[in-house]
Amino acid sequence: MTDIAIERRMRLPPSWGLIERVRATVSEALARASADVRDAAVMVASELAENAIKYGEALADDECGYVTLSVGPQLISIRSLNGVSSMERVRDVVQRIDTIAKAESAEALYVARLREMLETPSDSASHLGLLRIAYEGGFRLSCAYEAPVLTIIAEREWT
Amino acid sequence: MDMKTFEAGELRIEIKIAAGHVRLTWLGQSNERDPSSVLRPFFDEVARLLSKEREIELDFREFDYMNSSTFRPILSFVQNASKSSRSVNVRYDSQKNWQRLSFKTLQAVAASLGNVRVES
Repeated sequence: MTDIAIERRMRLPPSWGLIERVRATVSEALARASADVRDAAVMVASELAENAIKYGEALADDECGYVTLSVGPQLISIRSLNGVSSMERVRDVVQRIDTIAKAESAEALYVARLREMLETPSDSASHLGLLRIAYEGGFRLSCAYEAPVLTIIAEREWT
Repeated sequence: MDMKTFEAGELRIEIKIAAGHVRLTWLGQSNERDPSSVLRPFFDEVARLLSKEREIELDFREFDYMNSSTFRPILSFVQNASKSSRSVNVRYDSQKNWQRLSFKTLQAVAASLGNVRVES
């Protein structure tokens, strides 16, 4: 599998039904990968696409965003690109990713978030998506903002 | 024993009701945009079946996938059910990587809920 280079770019109109197509595209592209790697990549692409559709704003071509999958000899890279005009939203994402990137244990952050959820049952948001990408998927997260496009990058080695 | 089925999109939950036991068997996928809006009314119905004489089991072993937004309503339900039932038993498949990792974290917080067991 690792001698193959794969590129997939999936446009995201603001339609929730597209999530399933993203999942199917990534699963098909990684058909020769191990089930654990493939399932993790499908989950990551799915979570990033969900965020892009939920929170993304229209880009110049009227799509609310893109998810791209790049597979190289050593690295799997999944990126979401979507429009964001609210600097508050950008700062929130940057801070979340920075916290995850600097944490010694993504699992500990995940458990801490679950404890917060138990203590604040009235808060309906889960805020688990990015944590899950790092903890469950084993992907490193980073991001970049070049107004108005927010890019979130999730990468991991094959092993 | 009474049996019912709840369906929403690609999610199916089979409900088995017996004298001292309620079992929810999760099947398919939960990938709705807002799983809380789908699951909370269902959980409200299930909550009416619970009492200190009944235990409830949530069986995820055949469940294929859930998005991260699904975890919130499940956690809230487990939290509430721990107060209103004899015990809560969450079953998962440790051979499925996503289940092993997801439910390991639920196991970590379940200790604070007293009568909740999370096991494969």
